[in-house]
Amino acid sequence: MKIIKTKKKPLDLILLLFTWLAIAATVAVLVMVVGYVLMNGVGYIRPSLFAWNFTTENQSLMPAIMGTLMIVGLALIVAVPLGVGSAIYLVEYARRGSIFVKIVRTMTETLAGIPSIVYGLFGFIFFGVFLGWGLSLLSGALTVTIMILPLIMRATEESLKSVPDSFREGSFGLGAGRLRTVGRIVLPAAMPGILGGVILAIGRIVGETAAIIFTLGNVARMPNNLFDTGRTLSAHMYALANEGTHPGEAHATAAVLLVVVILVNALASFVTKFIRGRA
Amino acid sequence: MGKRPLSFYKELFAKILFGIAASAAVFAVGLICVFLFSQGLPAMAEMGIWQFLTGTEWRPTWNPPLYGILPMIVGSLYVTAGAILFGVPIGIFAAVFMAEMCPKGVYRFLKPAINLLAGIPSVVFGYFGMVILVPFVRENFGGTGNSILTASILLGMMILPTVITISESAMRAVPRHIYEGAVALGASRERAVFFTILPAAKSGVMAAVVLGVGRAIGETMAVRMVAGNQAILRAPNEFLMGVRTMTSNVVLELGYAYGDHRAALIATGVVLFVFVMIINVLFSLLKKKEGAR
Amino acid sequence: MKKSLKWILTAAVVCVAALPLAACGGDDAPTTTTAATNPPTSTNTPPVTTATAQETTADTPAVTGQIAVIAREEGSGTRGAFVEIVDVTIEGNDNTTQEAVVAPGTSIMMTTVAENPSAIGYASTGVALNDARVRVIDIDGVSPTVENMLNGTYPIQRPFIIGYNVEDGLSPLAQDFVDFIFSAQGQEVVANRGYVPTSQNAPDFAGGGLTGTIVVNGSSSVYSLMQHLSEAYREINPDVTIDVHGAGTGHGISAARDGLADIAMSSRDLRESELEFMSSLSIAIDGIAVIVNPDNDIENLSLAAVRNIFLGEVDTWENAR
Repeated sequence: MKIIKTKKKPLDLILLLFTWLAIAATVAVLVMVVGYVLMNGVGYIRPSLFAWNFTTENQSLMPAIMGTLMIVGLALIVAVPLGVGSAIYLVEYARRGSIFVKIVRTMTETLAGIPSIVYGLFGFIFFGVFLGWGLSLLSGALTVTIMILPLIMRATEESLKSVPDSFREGSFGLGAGRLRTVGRIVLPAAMPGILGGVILAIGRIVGETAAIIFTLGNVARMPNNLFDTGRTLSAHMYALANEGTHPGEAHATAAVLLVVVILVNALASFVTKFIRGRA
Repeated sequence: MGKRPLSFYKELFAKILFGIAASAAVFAVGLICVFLFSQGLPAMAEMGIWQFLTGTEWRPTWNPPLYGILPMIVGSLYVTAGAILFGVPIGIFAAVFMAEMCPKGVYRFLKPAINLLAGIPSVVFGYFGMVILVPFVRENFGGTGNSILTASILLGMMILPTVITISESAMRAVPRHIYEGAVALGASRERAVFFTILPAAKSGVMAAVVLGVGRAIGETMAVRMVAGNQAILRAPNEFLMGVRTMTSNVVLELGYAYGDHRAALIATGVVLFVFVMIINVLFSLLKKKEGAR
Repeated sequence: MKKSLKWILTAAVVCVAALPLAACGGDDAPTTTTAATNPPTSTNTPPVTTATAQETTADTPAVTGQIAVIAREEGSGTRGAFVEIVDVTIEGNDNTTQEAVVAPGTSIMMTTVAENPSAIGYASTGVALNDARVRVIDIDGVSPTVENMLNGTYPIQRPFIIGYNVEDGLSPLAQDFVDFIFSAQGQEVVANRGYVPTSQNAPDFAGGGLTGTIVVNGSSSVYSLMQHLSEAYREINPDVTIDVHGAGTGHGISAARDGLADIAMSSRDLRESELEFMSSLSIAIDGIAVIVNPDNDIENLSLAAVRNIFLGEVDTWENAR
């Protein structure tokens, strides 16, 4: 600390200033968007908006909320094991720099770059038409599964890499096999990072519209089974924003959507802390 | 053979399982390629690939229809470049702050805040942009407000959390001794961070930028609300005029289109997809070059 | 060191908190960079009279300068009908000025016009007349009331169409629903929603008692009305499920052709190529209102003036008057 106190050169100050400006701008963006949405939306939130059934008189959010939960749940059930398993293979098992690793990494980056509207087109063509699942929960969930796979893989990979090799060496030294080392030592240490990726993924699903409306559809009712259609909160908001007959409900939906995102984040950081506390 | 312990098979089984998981991404890309190209390419060939790619008129309801997507290609490039211009510098500086300069107490609030920013749905961003940013740009810079500039600012905001989160974790993954070494040699904290840690985290930061480009070029719902959506070929100095991106083109008209029009929109999706592939290849080449140095 | 950090931090937090309060100028870092890289000419020319429009709504001078034309997207039923009736065409092709801002969706149209003092756009009368954020103007001195649409003096009106695949025909259940739409009860729903019913003296609905699912897909303009119709029908037939998708006219028609939907909705007349495999029934008439910003004092435009504005041949409000 004392070294830093002695002298600051202009370059240091400029860099510091830019850093401050950047973080201030980031927070400003958040405060503006969240503030705007909440200020405009909260006034329109009524208990009847959460009625079980959707009618045109009462544009209930409940079917959309349930639809969102189902899509998120289904997508995570498939994507988390795949993504985490894949990252474990790349970091812990594969020879670093092998051709397979390179291919997987390139493909993951490709997936990450594919725009959601292209996912929507693909899901519509493949799951909907080719497999004949139509507009359904399963089409929607599998489409977003592919979409969030790279997010989870990336996050898991980065956090597995950040676990010091000494952890692994220690575990091997004590006679543990690779599987045990990964499961008991590396994975718990990497958990906060993995959860970060899962949060990003949930955020992306909750916020997704383009890929959803062409695969899940956009019908305001509770899906009864995997092959049933429905809508998510974002799709609900998209419908409200396009029709133009319920601007108040659109505001309210935006606010609820944000509250959901805030809750998800809060839950995730709680879980992260809980794990850290136990480790 | 028979003498191998159970744990050996367990390990083998796990390795194969993880390997299968790892090939899922490859499999997914393969499927997407096959199904998109089989639907989009024949349509493109029928229209004439060159005409489709370099045509400057998009008049799907004309008789005969004109399907030229050059304005949309250029439009996508403009708003993506604009988003990078706004989002990446701010994002990287903010990531430096998060990784190296943030007091613990503040970090506790900032980290969830940035995760929250990542979770804000693009429809919400779009609505915000339409009501706040569009009038702001119109009143301060002129034009209708539905412009390349507006879309760039909005997209810049939207890619911030992607850039920050990935760059930050890349910087955190840099071994501490690099930083400590620099400080021990008399470098100030800022210098140590910007000239040792940041370069060491280059590949991760680059990945953050790739993801940011991906999000910007692929953003649909927000862009279509603020960009004006005019299918006109713009010059770079017309940044106060509106453009239509490839994504908006698809989402604007897919609901109505059928027959040739619909095929042309799927073909637009294919072109977008090819662009993403080209960007990815460019970046991985770039990364390889830097790695070799 | 620790202390100075804390001070800078507090200052930053205060700044950040103050930013959003300072009107809409909060997005400070990105915009200042643009201002710096901007040629001074573009920053020095304020856009028409819009700069002060929001603060002084009471006594604004008449809106002058460049007209901001707002259109709907190509393929939209509303755009198709508007272009056809107002004749925004050259040699039969839609020639809406390419400079027009494209608002994808009714609500985005309303918000865009509401936010821009020099804007002109169009939307379904059912929506436009009930939204105080925009002003509906008269065409050739006629306002778009139900009366004026029925007697045909308001020129810009279009039918809401439902259709089904003629080869497959309608299932008994879907037929029952269509009967309901054209019954007294169904047409009452149409009138209550602000649209003009197509069949006067419709018979009372006599069907019902069926079960099953009906899939309806198509125009997003008809979507809301169809939702109300399906609810009214389900009050009589609670065991019937009706899935109403609003994926767009073209989407609905191809869904009905491919057997993925029982009934398609269209907000324009069906084309000849579509009539080869589709039936066409008009369930309601909807007017299209020409809308401007409330700050704009214009009350009336001729149909020809509207045409010229949307063709891009007249581009300032002075010339439009």
